[in-house]
Amino acid sequence: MHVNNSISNLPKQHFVSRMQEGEFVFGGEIEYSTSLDLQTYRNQANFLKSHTSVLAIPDNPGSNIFLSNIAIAQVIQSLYPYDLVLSISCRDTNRLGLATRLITAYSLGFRNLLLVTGDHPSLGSVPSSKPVFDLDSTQLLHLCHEFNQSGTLFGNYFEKSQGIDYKLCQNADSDQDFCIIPPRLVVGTVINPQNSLPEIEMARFQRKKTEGIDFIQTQVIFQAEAVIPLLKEFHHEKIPIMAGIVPLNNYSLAKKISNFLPGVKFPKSLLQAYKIASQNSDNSKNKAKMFDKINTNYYSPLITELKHKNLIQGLYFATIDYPIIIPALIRSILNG
Amino acid sequence: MDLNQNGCTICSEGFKKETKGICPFVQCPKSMLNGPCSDMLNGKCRIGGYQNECIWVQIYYRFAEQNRKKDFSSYCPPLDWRHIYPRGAE
Repeated sequence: MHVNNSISNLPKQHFVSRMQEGEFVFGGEIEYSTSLDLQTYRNQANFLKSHTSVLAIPDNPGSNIFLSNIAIAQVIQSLYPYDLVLSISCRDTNRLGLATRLITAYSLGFRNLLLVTGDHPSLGSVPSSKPVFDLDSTQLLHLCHEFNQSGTLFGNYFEKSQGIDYKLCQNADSDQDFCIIPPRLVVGTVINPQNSLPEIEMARFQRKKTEGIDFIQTQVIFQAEAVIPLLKEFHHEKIPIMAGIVPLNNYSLAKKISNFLPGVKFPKSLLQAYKIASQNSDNSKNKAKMFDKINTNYYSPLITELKHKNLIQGLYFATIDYPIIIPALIRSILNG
Repeated sequence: MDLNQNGCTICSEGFKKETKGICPFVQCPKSMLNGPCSDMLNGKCRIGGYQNECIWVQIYYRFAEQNRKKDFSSYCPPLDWRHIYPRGAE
C-alpha cells in the first residue's frame, strides 16, 4: 500500500518540512473556555504567535461542549501566521459528518489534521450522549488518504480548486513570507510512548502507517526512561514526532487531571512537588515562582535529553490556564 | 446472547472470524474495528475506570497465541450499516 509520508509536495515553511530538515519546532494548543467571546481565542493566538510556530486546535477535548474548532481556526487564521493543526475526532459525527468536516477544513485552507478517535462521551460533560464512533481514527486516515490520492470521499468525487494550492501571508512583524496552506491534507496521528504494552502500541501504529501518516503527536509525556524505548522504535519510521507536555500551576488541578489522562500515569514525585508548592508558599507571587521553577526543573532536562538524542523533532505545550510558562520553558530548553 | 458460542446475528460482517472469536463491535465501548485506542493502561479500559479488560488487547493475545501477530495489523474497513437490523435498509 502507498504511504504518503513523503514531504516532496509540502512547502519548505510547513512545520512537517521544517521538522524533517532538523529544526526543533515548538507548538501551542488553543485552550477552550466557556466564554463565547471570540476575543478569548484571538488573545491566545496573539500570545502564542510570539513563541510557537504550530498551533493545535482540539475538537471538543475531553468530550465537553466547546465552539467548533473550524470556526475558531477561521477566526484566528489572520492573526497566527504559521501552521494551524485541527483535530478531527470520530466521537461526535458519523462518516457523513466527518467527510463534510474534511472538505470544509480543506476548502478553508486548514489542511493539517490530527485524526483522533476521541474520548468516550461518558467521561465528559454530557455523559448521556450517544458515542458515535462510526469510523475510528485508522478508517478516518484511510478516508484522508483516499481524498489525497483521488479527490474522492467514499467514492464521491469532489473538484478541488484550480487556483494556487497554497497561499502566502505576510507576517506583520517581519518581512518573511509564511506558507499557511499545504497543497493536500497533511495528516497526523497520536501515539502513547508510555504505553505499558509497547508491542501492541507498535502493532497499532503499523496498521495506521499503511494508511499514510505525515506527523506524529505523543500523548503528554512525563519520564524519559518510560518513553525512550518506544520513541527509539518510532525513530526508525522517519516520521517527525512532536512530544506533548502539560505543565501545571495548581495542585488541585494536577490531582484532578491525574485521573483523566488517557493511558498515562501522572508521576507521584511531580504531584508531590506541586503539593508542597501549594502548601508552603504564603503569597501568590512566591507560589507562581515556585510552580514555574518546578516545571522548568522537571520538563527542561526531560525534553533536552529527548531532543539531543533526536528522538523528538518538536514539542507542544498543552497548558491549562498557564501560558506564561511557555517562553520560560522554551528558553530553558534552547539553552539546555 | 453468547457471541462466542453461536456466532453473531447482529451483523453479517464476520468480525469474529477476523478477531478470533471476540466481537469488538459489541464489546469495545467505542466499537473500534481497528483498536486499541489510547484509552488503555496496562491492558485495562479507561471507560469504567480501568476495571475492565481492553478487548483489543485480548484480541492481540489471541492472535499471538496463534502466531499470527502480523495479521493483527491488517486494516478493517468501516461497517456497512445497511446490513444492521433494525436501522439498515436491507
